[in-house]
Amino acid sequence: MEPDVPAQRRIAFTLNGRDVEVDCPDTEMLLDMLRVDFGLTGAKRSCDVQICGACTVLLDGRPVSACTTLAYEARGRRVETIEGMASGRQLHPLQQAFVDRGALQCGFCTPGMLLTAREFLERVRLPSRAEVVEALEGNICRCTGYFAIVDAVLAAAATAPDKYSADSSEGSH
Amino acid sequence: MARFTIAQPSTVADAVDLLDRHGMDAAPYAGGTELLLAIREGLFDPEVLIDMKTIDELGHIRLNPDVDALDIGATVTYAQALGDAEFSLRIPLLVEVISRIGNVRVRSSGTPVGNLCFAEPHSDMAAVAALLGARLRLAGSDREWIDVQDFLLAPYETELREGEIVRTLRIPIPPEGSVGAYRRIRGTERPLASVGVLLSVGEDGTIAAARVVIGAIAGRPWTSSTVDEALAGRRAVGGTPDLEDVAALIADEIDADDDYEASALYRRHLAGELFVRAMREAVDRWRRTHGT
Repeated sequence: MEPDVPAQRRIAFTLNGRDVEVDCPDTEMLLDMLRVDFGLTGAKRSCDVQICGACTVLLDGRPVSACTTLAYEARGRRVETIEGMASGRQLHPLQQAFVDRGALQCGFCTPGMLLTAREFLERVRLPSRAEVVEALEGNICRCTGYFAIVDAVLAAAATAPDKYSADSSEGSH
Repeated sequence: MARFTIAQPSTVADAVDLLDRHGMDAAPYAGGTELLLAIREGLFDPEVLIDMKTIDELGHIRLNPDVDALDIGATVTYAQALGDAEFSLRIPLLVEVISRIGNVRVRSSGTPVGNLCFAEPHSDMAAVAALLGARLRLAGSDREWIDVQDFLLAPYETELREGEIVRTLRIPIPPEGSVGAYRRIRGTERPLASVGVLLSVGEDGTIAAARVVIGAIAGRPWTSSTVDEALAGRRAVGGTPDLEDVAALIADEIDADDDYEASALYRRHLAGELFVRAMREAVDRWRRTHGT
């Protein structure tokens, strides 16, 4: 007996600014498509129930849990992962701020933290500490105790407020 | 192992047709924030997901002036609602509550209608929808409308009949002079207790009408006409109204059970306490807009 091979669907989308295409079954999660089909392992499987934020990617500019988003949802849309945040060897100001302020230890939560913080700073120019804390409440860190992360986001916001306009001309949200 | 394929209806009629054809083997799908987890946990094993997002008419928020309400399509996400001008302008209390549902990622994908269909017993969306007297517009049967309070039966159980799907959530805009507040206490992930109040306050500062909804405790949004009536006629000015008797009434009457997160006794206490705080906040809001 032939094993059941799930039907494949062609998903065409933009990944970190590049047009890409891949075939995958309807049941595939975005997280697995990114990690396995594209080798982009920055997004992590951690809680697998949308709570921890380690799998955060941006879909049309909005943070989503890739662990609980179907790969199917990427079709025709813009996906951004942590791998697209730096420009070659030039770190994004937020990434640099994290490095400068020791805002990561094991680094597991860091991609999710950075993407969430980046999207937040694109919407709120000069946030208060309380606003940053609230913006990151959906991203869990086991190592740092959060202070350095919040400091880094505030520092990046203060020193580079013009760096956060969305690169794409779509401006979807 | 999940084994579904995704169908892409263009119209509500198409979706109803798919549901009729596949019956219990099909699930309507929008954000999937609870559905996909249920499938992953092995609680549900559909053959077909009916992607409601390919139906354009379901993705809009419309102000309906004929009935003075906001009509929210079934696939409208929380994020979309938060970015909508009519929403922010007409029902700020709803914006306030929605901005704290789940986390930012859940709000990117999740939908108010999906939340109500899942009937999670701690749901903030359910509590605030009940508070505002919301109704659901259905397709797929001979009935058209159902009140949210009648729709939500018990934890994870709704009045949705086989073959039916929800197409719109209609939220009446609170009348001029209304003021509301919503307070909650979170447990580990879901709310432990929440209280919403909606007050109609007369120019003289007397509460003309009140509606109180307690969420997260009784398995579905809990209301009491006794509580609502007890508040009518109380003064909202000249000092904070004395509400201890009503708080005690709520604590006494609400259906509460012990569970792994909290005892019934503690939940009763929270209901009464949050009620007082929500009332104070609503009254303060009224005072601030009436310069007293």
